[in-house]
Amino acid sequence: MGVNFSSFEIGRRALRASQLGLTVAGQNIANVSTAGYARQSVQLSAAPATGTGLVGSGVTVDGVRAFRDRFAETRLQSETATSGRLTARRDALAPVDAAFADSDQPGGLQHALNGFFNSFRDLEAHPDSVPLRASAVAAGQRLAATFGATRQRLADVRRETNAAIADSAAQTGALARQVAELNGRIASAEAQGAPASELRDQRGEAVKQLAELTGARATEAADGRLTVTLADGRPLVVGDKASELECVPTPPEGLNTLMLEGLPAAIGDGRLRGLAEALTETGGLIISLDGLAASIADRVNTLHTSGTGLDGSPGLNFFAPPAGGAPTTAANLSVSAALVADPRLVVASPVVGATSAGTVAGQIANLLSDGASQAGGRTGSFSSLLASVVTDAGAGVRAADDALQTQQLILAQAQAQRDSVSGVSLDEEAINLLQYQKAYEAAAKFLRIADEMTQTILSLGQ
Amino acid sequence: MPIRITDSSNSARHALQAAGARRKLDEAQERVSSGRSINRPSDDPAGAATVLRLRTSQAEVEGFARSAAEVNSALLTSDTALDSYEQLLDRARTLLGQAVSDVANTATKEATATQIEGMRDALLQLANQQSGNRYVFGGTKQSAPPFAADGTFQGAGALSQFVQIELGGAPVANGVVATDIFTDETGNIVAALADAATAVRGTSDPAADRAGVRAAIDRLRGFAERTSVARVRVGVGLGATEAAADRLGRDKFSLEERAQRVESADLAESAIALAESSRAVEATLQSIGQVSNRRTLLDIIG
Repeated sequence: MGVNFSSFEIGRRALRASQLGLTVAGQNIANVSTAGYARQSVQLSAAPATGTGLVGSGVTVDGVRAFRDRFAETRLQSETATSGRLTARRDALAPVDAAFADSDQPGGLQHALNGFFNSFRDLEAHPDSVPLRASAVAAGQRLAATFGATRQRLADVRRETNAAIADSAAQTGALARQVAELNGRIASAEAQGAPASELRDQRGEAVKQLAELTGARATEAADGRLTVTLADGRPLVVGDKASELECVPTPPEGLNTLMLEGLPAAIGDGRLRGLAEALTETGGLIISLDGLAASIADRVNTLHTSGTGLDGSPGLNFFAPPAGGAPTTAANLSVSAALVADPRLVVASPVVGATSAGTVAGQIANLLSDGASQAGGRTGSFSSLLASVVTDAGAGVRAADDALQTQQLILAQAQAQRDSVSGVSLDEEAINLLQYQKAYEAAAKFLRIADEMTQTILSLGQ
Repeated sequence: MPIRITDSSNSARHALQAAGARRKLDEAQERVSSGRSINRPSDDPAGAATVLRLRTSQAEVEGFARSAAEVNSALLTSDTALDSYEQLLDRARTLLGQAVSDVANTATKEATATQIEGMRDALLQLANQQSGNRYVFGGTKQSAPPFAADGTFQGAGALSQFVQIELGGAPVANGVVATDIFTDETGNIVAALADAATAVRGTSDPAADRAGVRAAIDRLRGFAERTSVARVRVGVGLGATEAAADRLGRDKFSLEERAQRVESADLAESAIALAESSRAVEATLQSIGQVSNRRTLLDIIG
């Protein structure tokens, strides 16, 4: 017992452990802002005594451990997926809100609707007036144009959302390839006993982004490789192999259908799901708008053809039936060319067979508040049917926005929970730096003292 | 609250708080600058639908108000014309009455007949008068005046024009058709005046002459009664349009008030909310600044 060369080993190990501790603290500090980084710490244990020694042989570095909580990571991925879905849906539907804003102001659809039917109210009071007939034709053209413009805005939203689906699918492919490549590198490194914490961090971040896009879930195999699956369990990534999400334009509108390995992909959450929901909602609004336009054309034409023009000729359709027998929609609603060319053909004649039932113009004007109109499975006046479409649009956007605000708080909480395990605290790392610095200084002093003692013993023999 | 607070979770929380404060400020600013609490359907979907329905009702009320004013104006014109017609018929009956009196002689009868014949032009002018480009007594037949220049009646078949002046209300006739006041079972007023002049000139049979003039007087009385009935109908129509105008005026005010209540932002409240949210943003940013600028252990140990 006493000072011997084992002290140098103890000192050497202590220096090495402290150096490693400082390096790890430095790594943590350097990555304080790195997304997905899991803080690391040196795992030390006391080295046992060797031979018949009474004292241990210093410190052993067991490894560098990364702090991860699988439950917190999984929960964060899940909430990120939900947040991605709600954000995509809200952002895609926001222009829909704008399309129906100020509907009762000049230029708005409700304003055009009111103006059209009121033009017949004015004509009712002056059934012989040609200028008022021209006004009715102009009001009809304004109504058709406003319907068309509103529908076009909704169609633009669908087109942009469809393009966003293609972009997100491409991003998904890139991320899946990245996860597959990292799977291989992690498995290879860990098989050789090398640390792969940073690679795991990168892979975790890629998986989180995949979840944000597709709602995909990841499970880890014994060899460390992740399998990433979609909602129906079909894999996007298996080991080193990644599959591509394909966008296939589907008739009749050419909207993208997502395919995985030749079969429709089940996207249960994430941005792609949110975009798909937005597509469905805007599609529903377009159908409602088309139904309303068709109903207006149908009811106005029915009345208009029941009367006679100023010259006594039989009333024509006020709104032209689309070519080829196609259904009337908000896109193809138009005033008959014959009426545009000769407004005297607009009907304002007395109602046939009645003595005091007013004129056809009055009947057309009354359609605005006639509760028997039907469109999109609803019954009501044209003004209330349009109000319902506006309500649907606004309610969809409002629901998406409210849900997103709530989800952002939940996501923040999930992120905070993950960070409480894996996040870097600069104060903690500063303490670690101090600790390892002091330990290094103490180990160095120990080595110097051991060296002096050894020199003393060696000099005794001279 | 997680046990361990890290720099990244701090930063994320600060970002969320700042975003939330700014969002509230943005909403308050919009309310103040637009004066409306509903600037888009998503602000209040049900409220937006209510406002649309109210605005539609307002537009309808305005349309009916215009119609009521037009009908009222047309009826006033008709009433004035009917008054002139009544006076003309009254004058003709007075002249005929003088013609059957014992003091009437051939010369006076000739003068009376000439006066009655002279009323023809005034009658044609009255019957064919126009308001704007409409024949006042044309009804649904506006392609030609009720009487041709030669006195031929061409208003047969014309019907009253009816206009609706209130939602759900019965349409109101906007005038009187010529058939109702210028014709009877025998013919038309122009012919009746010509017959009356002939009766006044008489024959050599005084008894027959007196009977003829009395018959002419009776016939003109019949036209006068038709005219009185027409004036009553016009009066009823005027009452209806005036009452409708009153109701529509009140409805318009009430609808505007209701729409404003739903759609408009209370400016005082909005201004207070703006000030509060502005202060909240400042306070949030200041607190974030204070927390972010604090010295960490790394700064202290140098």
